[in-house]
Parts: sequence; structure tokens; C-alpha cells
Amino acid sequence: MNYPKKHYEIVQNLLNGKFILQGQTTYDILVPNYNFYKTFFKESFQYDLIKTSEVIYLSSDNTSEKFSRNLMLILAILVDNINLQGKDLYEELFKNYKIKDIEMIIKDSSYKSVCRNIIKNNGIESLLKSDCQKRNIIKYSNNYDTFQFTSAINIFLEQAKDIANMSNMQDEKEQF
Amino acid sequence: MIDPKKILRFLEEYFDEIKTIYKLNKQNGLILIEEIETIFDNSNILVDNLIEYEIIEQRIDDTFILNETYGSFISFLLDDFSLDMPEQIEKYHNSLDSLYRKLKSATTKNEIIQTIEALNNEIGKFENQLQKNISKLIKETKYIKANNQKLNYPKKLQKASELTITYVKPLNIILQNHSESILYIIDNIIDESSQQRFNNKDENLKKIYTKLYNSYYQTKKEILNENRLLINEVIPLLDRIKSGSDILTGCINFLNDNNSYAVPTLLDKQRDITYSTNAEYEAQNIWEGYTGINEDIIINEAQSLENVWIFNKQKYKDRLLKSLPIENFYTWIYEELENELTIVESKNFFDLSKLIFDNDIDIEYKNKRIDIKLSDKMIDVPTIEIRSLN
Repeated sequence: MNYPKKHYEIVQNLLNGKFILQGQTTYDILVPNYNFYKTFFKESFQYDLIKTSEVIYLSSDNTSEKFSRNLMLILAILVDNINLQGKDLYEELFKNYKIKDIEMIIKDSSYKSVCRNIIKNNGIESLLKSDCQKRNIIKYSNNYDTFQFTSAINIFLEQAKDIANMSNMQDEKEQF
Repeated sequence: MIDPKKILRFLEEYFDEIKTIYKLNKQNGLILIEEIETIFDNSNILVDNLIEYEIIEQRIDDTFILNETYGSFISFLLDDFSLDMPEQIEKYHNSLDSLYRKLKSATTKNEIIQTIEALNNEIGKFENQLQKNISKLIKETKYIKANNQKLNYPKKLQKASELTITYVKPLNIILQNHSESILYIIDNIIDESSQQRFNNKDENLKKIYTKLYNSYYQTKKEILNENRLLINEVIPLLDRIKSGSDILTGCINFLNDNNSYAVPTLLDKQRDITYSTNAEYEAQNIWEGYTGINEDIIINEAQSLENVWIFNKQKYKDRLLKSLPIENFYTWIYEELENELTIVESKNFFDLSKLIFDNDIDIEYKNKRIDIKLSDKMIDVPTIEIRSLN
């Protein structure tokens, strides 16, 4: 059988936990072959291939969620901070940041304590520069020493919405 | 009948005063005669004019109200109106529906003409009110969008969700095409008038039905367009503001008790095995992670290499030739190495003994053996005499 172009790159990237972003050539190859790859990853590895209008990535229930939880905490603090400043969430989230900015925001946040395990040993820098960059969650610009979140964080923002709706449903249940 | 131009001239001349009356009426729902007199500087003639032109109407309790026709005219001029509740728009559903039934059951030509006229009037009013409301909604939404400085984020959220819940969603339901919607009745009227404009035997009625058809057809296009504006302009913006609010709520709930909530399940990174076929990709991944990190580079002082003895055949052959004749080849080797290295190891000794296989020398074995003590072992070797070249 003929495999889609860049098959090796697509498989390697996904298996390495990378988000494939809308706009990348691999995304355009993946979309029409989505069903093939979905079955391929399910049958070969028991992984789920997830596609949104912005990203494609692999998900598995059998993996540790430490990275995901740490990133969610950092994003949540960032969102809280943007709200406190009365600014527009979407405009602010996708601005250019320096790693130091994020470290400052966390340091000054009233939720600092929930991040204590990440802050240790330059954890924020390594989480962002190493893990997030490898997974295409941030785009790092060497020239300016700044980074920008990619649309991959929308997965986490959607999760936040689900959490909000879950809490609303619980509140309603309690009222009845 | 009073000359309309006379009324318009009066409105023009005293517009500021009438505007004050309009505002008072809007604010209090009524106007007191004392207030009117103050506004018009106690001029009885002018107050009489107001009453004569029916700009204000006296009520039983001697208070006044602004005539509704003037009220809506002035609000139109001032572009000052609040959004109608969706129920006020939905009432057209009932009125159009009952007029449509009346048209279907009408028996006399006169009845048909009157009903059609009523239908035309009603749809005109509906369209007008709808347009007013949609453009007001767009204006309000743009106001929320544009006033980053004036409105803080929570205020924006509150306003956006008010607009969505009170107006946009109900309006959207009214306008969508389903059996309970106004659009559905309008479609029925279009069908009916379309058939009648061709099939009716009365030429006069054909014309009237054509007019009805045209005006309803236009209105339908207008509604679809207004609904498109609602869907394309108002809803996305309000949704965006609303979704920002959901994200915030979710994030704060998560921060308060993060272990109670699930996070997106991603894939762990694979273990990097250097000999795997993926090594190139994995290495690339690691390098990508390090680009931009400026680590300190520490260079240790290089240690000097030990003086290692190497068997250089030509060098020792030359020496051997110079030393001829040699009584005992192995003793010569021992002395050579001892002079050069002080300590004679068996490894070096055997290396140098290879010289014996050289074709350029003539060797003679003596029937005598001797022991030579090396640093690491004692060896028993024969006595070999080397005299000359071949």
C-alpha cells in the first residue's frame, strides 16, 4: 500500500507527543487521511488521535498527566492574572512573553502555592522551553528571547470551559 | 383639519422644548401642567398649541402624556430607543397568523382586499421594528467591543451575557425557520399569494395578490439578511466574551482544587534510546529544546599524555646494524630497552624481539640458554649471535 507523504515524520512527531498545528504541511496531509491514521494509532498503540479545527495530537489514558496538569496550572494563573488586570483574554494570551514574565506572574499570584512543585529547580523554564517547545505548545524566538503560545493551548482552554460547565451543573443539582 | 406643515413648523421652532417634554415623559411616564408651563415660560398660547396639535394628551387626572405617534417620531429623530423585548416582536406571529387564516377563509372580494391591506400594514410594522432592534443590537455589541477602556472586563461580560440571554437568543429563535416562527407564516403567505396572483380569476385581485407577494417576499429576504447579521456579527462577539468568562471560571475552579478535575490527556514523551532507528528524530527533538539556552561552557585543562613506548622497526633495525657484531641478541634487546625506558616490560621486550625475523641479518643459534629478568616476568631465551648482514 502507499502511505501518505511525510508518513514517517507524522508518526514520529505524534508519538513524541507533538501537537501538529493547523498551517503546517503535516496538518494538511493528516486531515484528508485522518481516518487512516486514527485506525493506525488505535490498532498499533491503543492511542487516540484527536483532531480539532486547530490541532491534531495523540492521547492515551495510560500516560502520566504530570506535564499536562502543570501546564494547566500555569495557564490558569495566567488567565486569572489577565482578568485581574481587566484585559481581553484572547488578545493577552497570545502576546509575546518572556519566561521571566511568566515566572513573575506566578510569583505574584495568590495561587503561587499550588505551583510550588513546578517552581522548584527552574521548573517553569524547563517546562516551557523544553517540554512545551518540543510539543509545539509554544513558539520560541531566539532573537528576542520571547515566546508565544500556539493554538495548542486551546485544548487546555476548552478543558477550563468544561470545568466551568461541570461546576455549573453541580450548582444546579444542589439547588434542586 | 390642521395644516400638517403648520405642525411641522411648530415642531421645528420649539424642538428643544418638545425634546424636554419627551424626556420627562420617558422618565416619569407622565407630564404635569406646571412642568409644561415652566418649559414654555408660562405662554398659554404655546401650551394651547401643544394640546391643539395633539402633541400632548390630557388624561382624566389632569396630567398629560406625550402622544405615542410623536413619541416614536422624536425617538426616531434622536435615535433614542431601547431594545424591544422579544415578546413584543413575537406578537407579530399571532397577528400575522390570524390574518393569514382570515385571508384563507375570506369569501367576499371586499374581505380579501381588507385582509391583504392589513397584512401589508402588519408586515411593514414588523420589519421596521425588527430592523430597529437588530441595528440597535449591533450598535450595543460594537460598543462593548470598542470600549476597552471605559468598560472593565467583568462589566463587559455582564453586558454581553445580558444581551445574549434577553435579546439575541430569543430573537434568533423567532427568526429561525421552524413551524412556530414568524418566518414560517411569512412563507405560507408567500405561497398563498404566489398561487393566487396566477390562478385568481379576478384581475383586480391578481394585482393585489402580486403586491402582497412582492412585499412578503422582500420582507423574507430582509429577515434572512437581518438574521445573518445577528448570526455573523452579534453572536460571535458575544460568544467570545462569554467563552472568556467560562474559561476564567474554569481556571479559578481548577486552581482552587486542581486534583478534583481532569486535564487533557496527552502522550508521554518516548524514552530516548540512542541505538533505536528513531535516534535521529529524538536527537533533533532534544536539540530543538536546547536552542536558545546559553549554558556556561567549562573546558578542563588537557592532561599531558604518558610517554608510551612504541616499536619503531626502522629505528631499532638501524641501531641493531650499528651495534654489530652482537654476541647475544636478547641481551642486546634488554640493554637497549633499559637504556631507553629504565623499566623493561615483557610486552616491549617481545615487540622488539620481532627484529629477529628481519631478512637483512644473519643469525646463528648457540646451544646455550640464559634467563633474563624483566620487570613483570622472568624469561628463558636462547643465545643468538648476530654477526653481519646477509
